[in-house]
Amino acid sequence: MDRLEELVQRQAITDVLTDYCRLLDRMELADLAQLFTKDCEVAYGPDPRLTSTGRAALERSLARMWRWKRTAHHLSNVRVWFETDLLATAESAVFAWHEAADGSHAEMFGLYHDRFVRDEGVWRIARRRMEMAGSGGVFRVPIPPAHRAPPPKDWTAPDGLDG
Amino acid sequence: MAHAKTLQDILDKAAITDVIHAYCFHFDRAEADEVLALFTSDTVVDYGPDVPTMNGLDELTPMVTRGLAKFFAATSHHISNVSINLTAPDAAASVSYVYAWHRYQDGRPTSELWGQYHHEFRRVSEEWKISRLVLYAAGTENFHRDKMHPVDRRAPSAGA
Repeated sequence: MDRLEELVQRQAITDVLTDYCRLLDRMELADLAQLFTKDCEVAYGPDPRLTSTGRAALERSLARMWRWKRTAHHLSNVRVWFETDLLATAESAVFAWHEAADGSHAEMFGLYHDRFVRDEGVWRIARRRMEMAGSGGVFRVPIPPAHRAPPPKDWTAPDGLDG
Repeated sequence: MAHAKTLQDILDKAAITDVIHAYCFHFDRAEADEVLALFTSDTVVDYGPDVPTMNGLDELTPMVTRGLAKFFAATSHHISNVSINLTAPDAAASVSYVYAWHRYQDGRPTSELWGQYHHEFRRVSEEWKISRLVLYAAGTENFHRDKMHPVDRRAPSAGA
């Protein structure tokens, strides 16, 4: 893949990631499922309610998002690595805002780890794992914590920095 | 030839993304002239049903100038999910997400907006300019407008 072609394919993968957010916020789940491969493996967390295999199961599982009145998934920090012309890995960050039925808000800062496969010229997500850096409000979904290196054994907190 | 078209598309999308970012950058620095320079003279701007739609720079100028000078004390606009569709050689449409934080001169509580910009662009004298801007909101907190154009959201089907 030459550098120009890599730019084009990187944009195509980024478009899939942003289409996912737009279609999830619109709850167009049938269209959203088309962004994934037929046999996709998706795990937002280890809880069975957050895990699915295959497009149809993903569509059924994501119907859980209707428990929120509205959502807004803001995607950033997209990074893509190509293994071959037909295989890629991507990471992206999401700031997801949720409005509950009672009008209260919940926020979540997460990471998507995706495996992309290109079939007949179209990039689709074959595998998705999610991690969470943190959350606020009433967000209590058991998404696993993102990796964060622990401090060295001899590290101590600097005096006076409490925020 | 196909290569040249691909490259031109990438350059156009990068230039359009820069315009979306520039709007936020100059808005947050309260630089009204620089914000207004991003629009076509016949631009149409719709910030929501609480504000009359502005037709042309003549109507947009007082709104932006007054808002940045007299209303906002500080703002921070964060763009993501930029999706651009090149609809003609000199025209484009885009959807981008915006998270916006606002502080006000009259001391009311700070506000937040989780929204989308739906833009149309036209290339004028080699520069991409905003010919249409409509703001949609998924949600707000303490925002200075009560009514916003809602982001479309499909209702659950009977079986869901």
